[in-house]
Amino acid sequence: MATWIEKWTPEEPDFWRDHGSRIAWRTLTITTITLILSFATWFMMSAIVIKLPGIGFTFTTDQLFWLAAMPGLAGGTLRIIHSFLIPLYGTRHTITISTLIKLIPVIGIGFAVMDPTTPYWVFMVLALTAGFGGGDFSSYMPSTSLFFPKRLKGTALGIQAGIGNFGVSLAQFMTPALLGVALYGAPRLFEKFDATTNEVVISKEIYLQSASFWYVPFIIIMTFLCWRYLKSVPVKASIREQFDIFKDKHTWYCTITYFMTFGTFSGLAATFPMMIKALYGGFHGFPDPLTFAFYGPLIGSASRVLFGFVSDKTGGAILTTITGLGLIVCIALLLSLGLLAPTSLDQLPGSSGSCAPCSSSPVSATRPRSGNSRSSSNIPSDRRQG
Amino acid sequence: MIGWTAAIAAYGPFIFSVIIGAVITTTTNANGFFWGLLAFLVIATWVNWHFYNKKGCERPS
Repeated sequence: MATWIEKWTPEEPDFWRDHGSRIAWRTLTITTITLILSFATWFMMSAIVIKLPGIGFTFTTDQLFWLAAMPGLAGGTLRIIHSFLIPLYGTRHTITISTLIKLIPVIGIGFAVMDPTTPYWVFMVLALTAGFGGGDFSSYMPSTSLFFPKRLKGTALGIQAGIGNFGVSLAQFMTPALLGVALYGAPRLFEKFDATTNEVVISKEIYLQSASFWYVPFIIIMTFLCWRYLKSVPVKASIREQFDIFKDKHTWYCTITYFMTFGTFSGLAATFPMMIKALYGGFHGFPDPLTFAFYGPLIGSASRVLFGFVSDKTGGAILTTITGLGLIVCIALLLSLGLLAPTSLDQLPGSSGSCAPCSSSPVSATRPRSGNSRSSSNIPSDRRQG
Repeated sequence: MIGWTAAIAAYGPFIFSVIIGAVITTTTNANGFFWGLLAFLVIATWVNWHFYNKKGCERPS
């Protein structure tokens, strides 16, 4: 089966109608599903770390924050690498292999959490590999844009980025849901002690490994579908052209505004479970942060899809301004109400009441493709950000 | 350019986790980080408004 498509001219109406459209939408469907897996595995560590102390791991709070941080370090770095892959290796090979290698973190972390003697450095390495999915965005987007004619590029990229982002929420939502489900291996006793009385308040058997192993069949199926159905569109690589962007000051301004949107979204989404646990975990009757942490990224992803459509009409800049103001108000509120320096658990509803809105309103405000539409109209290349 | 900006923004989880973790373990609360974030957001919002949003800006979009 040929990897490279010989003739690809999506702007020709006849070609698009007879061949192009079908292949392009099929490619978009497959790559969007794999991008959900990318985002989910990228953020799985943020949900899993908060359960580790309860099943016998003796890592410090600081160490747990570093574990949640590692996939971000890998993700950012891999995005730079991924932005060169499509011209070199094509859609089929890049996306099939990117999907396949996610077996490393999901199998590795699954086994690691089953054994409380697993050393910290092994977790650090596995957390880095969990960042594989973080890089994918920067090759999937240019890949998708190759397949579609100009008039549909925005729509296609919006669908892919928006739906792909639900993976963040999926990882945090599915983790608590799967703790009671036996997929492989023995359960471990999860114990929680009350911080003041030192009594055992929760004692139950959980399968933390299930939160990692459940991705395995999906990754295998999607790897197969990618190899079977994806083709590559030849494109001229111009690596030098890619470096020209650094001569343009707007590259730097857009980096700032993009960090404000996606950086704040991804940063808060990854940190939220651990932060709530660290701030409120010491109080009597502290609930599982994962029961509400996923709302932030969920609202954020939804607003991203929605704002994508809005921005086609209003332009991206105004939405980015609204996003920024929304973030400022929410964070000012969090600070002024003292919710980040809590003195009792009573503040948690206030916190999740104004922190979940806050954390989702940064997030929801944060996620819009607004930055994108704007940046992409500045940009000679036809890629969009996410 | 999108490859670059998206890559830098993807360091968000790393930067936020490391700093928030350090701030909480040294000061027992997260205020320090969020004051810093607030300052950054004010600057970033201004950059966006000034270059891309206000009337007669350099690159309206």
